[in-house]
Amino acid sequence: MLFRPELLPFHPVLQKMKKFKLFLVLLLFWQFPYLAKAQSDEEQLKKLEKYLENTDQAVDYNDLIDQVNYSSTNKINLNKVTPFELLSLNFLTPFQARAIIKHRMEYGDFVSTLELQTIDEITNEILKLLIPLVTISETNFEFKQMGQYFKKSDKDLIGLFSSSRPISKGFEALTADSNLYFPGSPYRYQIRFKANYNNSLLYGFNAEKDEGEDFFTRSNHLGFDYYSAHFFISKKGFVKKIALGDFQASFGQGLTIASGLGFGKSALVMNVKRPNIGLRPYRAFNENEFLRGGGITLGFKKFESTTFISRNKIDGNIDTIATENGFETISTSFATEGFHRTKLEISKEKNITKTLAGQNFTYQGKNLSLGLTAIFNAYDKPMQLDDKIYNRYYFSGTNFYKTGLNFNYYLKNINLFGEATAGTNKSNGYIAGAYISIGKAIDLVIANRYYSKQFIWYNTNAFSENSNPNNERGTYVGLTCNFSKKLTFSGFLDAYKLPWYSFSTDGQGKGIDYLTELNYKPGKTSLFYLRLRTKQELINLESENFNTLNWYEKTNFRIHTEFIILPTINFKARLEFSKYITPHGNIESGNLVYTDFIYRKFRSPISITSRIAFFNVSDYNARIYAVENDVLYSWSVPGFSGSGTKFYFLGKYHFKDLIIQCRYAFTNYYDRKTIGSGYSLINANKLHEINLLISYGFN
Amino acid sequence: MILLFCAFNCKATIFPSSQGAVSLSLGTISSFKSDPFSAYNHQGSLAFAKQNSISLGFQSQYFVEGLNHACLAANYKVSKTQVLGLGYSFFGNQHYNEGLLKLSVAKKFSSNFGGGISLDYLRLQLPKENYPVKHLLNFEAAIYSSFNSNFDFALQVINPARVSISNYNDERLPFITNTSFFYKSSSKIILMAEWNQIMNGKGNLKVGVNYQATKNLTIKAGVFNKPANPSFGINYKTKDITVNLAFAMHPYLNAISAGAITFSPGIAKDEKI
Repeated sequence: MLFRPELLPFHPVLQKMKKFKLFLVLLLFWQFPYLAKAQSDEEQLKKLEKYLENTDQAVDYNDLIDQVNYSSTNKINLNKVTPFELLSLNFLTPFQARAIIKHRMEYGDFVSTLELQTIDEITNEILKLLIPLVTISETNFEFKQMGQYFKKSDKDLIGLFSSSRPISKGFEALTADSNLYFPGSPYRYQIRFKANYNNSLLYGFNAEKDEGEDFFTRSNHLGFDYYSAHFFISKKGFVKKIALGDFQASFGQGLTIASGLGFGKSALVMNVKRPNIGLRPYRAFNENEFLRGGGITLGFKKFESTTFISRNKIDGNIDTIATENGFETISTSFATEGFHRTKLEISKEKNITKTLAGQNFTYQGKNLSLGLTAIFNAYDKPMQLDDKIYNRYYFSGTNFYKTGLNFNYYLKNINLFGEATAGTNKSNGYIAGAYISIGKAIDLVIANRYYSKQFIWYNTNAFSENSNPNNERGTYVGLTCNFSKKLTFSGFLDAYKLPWYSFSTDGQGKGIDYLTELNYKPGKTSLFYLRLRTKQELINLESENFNTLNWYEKTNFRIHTEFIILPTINFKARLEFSKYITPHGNIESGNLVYTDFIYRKFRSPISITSRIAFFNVSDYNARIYAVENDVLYSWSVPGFSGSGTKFYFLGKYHFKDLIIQCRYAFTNYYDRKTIGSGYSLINANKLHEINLLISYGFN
Repeated sequence: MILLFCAFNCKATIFPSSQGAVSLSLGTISSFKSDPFSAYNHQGSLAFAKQNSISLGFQSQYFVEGLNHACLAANYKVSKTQVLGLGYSFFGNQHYNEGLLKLSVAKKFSSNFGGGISLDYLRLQLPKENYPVKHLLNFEAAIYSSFNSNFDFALQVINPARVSISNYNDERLPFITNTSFFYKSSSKIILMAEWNQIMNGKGNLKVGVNYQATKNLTIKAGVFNKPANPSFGINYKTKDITVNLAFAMHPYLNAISAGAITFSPGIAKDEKI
């Protein structure tokens, strides 16, 4: 074990003396919660950044952000939390989660969140992340008191306005009846209302209008384009959870049912295992990735039963085909962008009715947990994808079912986990893995996965190479080594095969993906890391008559440093290079350099974040991602390509219950005269963007 | 035409980003904190200047007449934290020449962070019979920060406004960024690397090593690429006078040689702010 002087007061003898221990902890760390809270947003951003910047897939990260935000605004009660709920925070290893539970079992309920300091497995870094997200306050939820809870709940009303200039070509369209015309204003509005009573009662609603969408007129005569509402109860006793309205359900490793997006391969190399979250309210703005209806979780001793049902309309392309019995309407694809601006986009809106019902049984023992999940999914129009060879084994028809068995088992320093699923038309798959803690310094994770080419990936988010688990088998190994308190090495290696054709592979694909990171943290005020990621994959080598396969390779190398230059100013700098070798052997390359200045003064209502970035990337394939700070509940993750400069400024004013945030971003390209393409084309090489958020909290 | 070709294809191009024998010996790294030409090369490292100094330098390109540089740099400490800098360089011949004057102001904001800005005036003389003399104004800005006692980081932006030379074909002075990292591996050795990027153009990697052989003698070596040019230099310091000599070898053209002499009155003191 590393020597941790701050733990000196917590000698095993003293640990038995609960009150004395608490006194010492409070004495030493009385100021920690304030500092921790101030840092939590930044730490959460780093977490999200680690995932998002290494994702080449154009995912809608809004849902992931909501997951992170959900954790930070809905504190976990340390005295009733399960290991799965701790894992849902995404930064604890299974052993750290287990150590917290074990501590509670050995010493009784936590009397302060600062008591986490006494657990060996919880490092200072983890503690910083954890403290703002946990609580020990106890709530005995009573249905009779519901009226009081509604009154006493903490409520937040948040409004967001955003826009960019110059406006895109869609707003300047030739005629109002053009299919490419954006009839609405070039502004985006969001309204969010959320209420929370001690994490036991949560309710609220969201509404959104994107740029170019109608507002209180034509296709959106009811106002916003998107509305969502949720009502959620979480309590002890026989009835554990009730979800009404929009919600999400995730069980096991996400092979059978997991609504919403999941974290995939990233610089968080140990993040393979999915948390068994169960039901939770849906509060994000992705217009298609949620369930609408209701669910209930009942618990009896070590057993839990969750039942849920959902029915909602989703966007999709439909077509009419001639059959033996006449004409039939079929759906040819789902539309997940969530934009309803042009006539073409509006024609896809809510075309498909989806009904989903599911049941889960979970047994939660001391070391073993088992889960059995079954779902039935039906569409009102049969799915029939285009007649392409890579679509041959995709789901077609109106309904399907799936059944999955998941497990989680602790065996000393090994944590085994997995899930196997079988369903309609050989929709089979499994993932099985093990976390191994080798001493105090080394953690290892190994996971093997197989998803058949018929695997139905709708409503799933299992760990996979592609954005959807399907047509894939592979093995992943992740490793972290803490050489010392200052120096950490982490890395992963993932080798995979795609047994059947895919969109970009006319044949059996395969690839190898690896990442290494050396992290040096000499003190509390500075951080330095080097990261190398390389991915090699077979892809079509396009030719006139037929495609053959050849390898492409993408490499990113990053040097990142951050430190405190003044007590109130943090400084960050990054230099990143990318190289993309096409299947034809051509080399595309690029680099990005940026510096951040963050002004934050303890107990000051004002904080400022700014960045200037210079990028020089020769091709889109060599693009470099960098997470940018944005107003509350949103972050930007641009993929930089081309040559140019980007500057942004984010100011925050926080006074009592009022938060005002404003972000202005300016991008100047040197290598082009227009930005974007199609109806999103902007006839300029400079882009101005502004976001304004106002949040008001009340009781 | 040959001279112009050389000027645009070698390191002594229009709007050079660094001057002086120290920079040349370190693979043309511009941001070295102990470079007496910081007043010309890097406003961030200028903020850490320990004493007033004036330097004169000369650089010969491939022993070709008309491709030589002459340069001057001076810095003056206004206060413990503020430094003023003056830099001037002249390059060229009677047919084509550049005169670049830089006025800089730099400030040390804390013991580990400094920054500065300079106003640049460039006089560009193209062949007189065809083109008028160009007078161009632009600016540079740079920061220099110490991650800890071993690691330093520096960033410089040169001409971010991309000043226009001519409307024809939208010709502009290049926008250049220099990103540098320094690692002090021992009390005698400093390793450094710099990424020089011309925006919308190619990048260039430079690496260097500075070895303090004795109290008075320092040996430097470096490489800059595209094509690879190894460089070497020595620095000898007496009480008030420092002499620098540097050489670099182009794989095809010939050697580049540079010499500089610096006068620094008084003894530098470590200052705390």
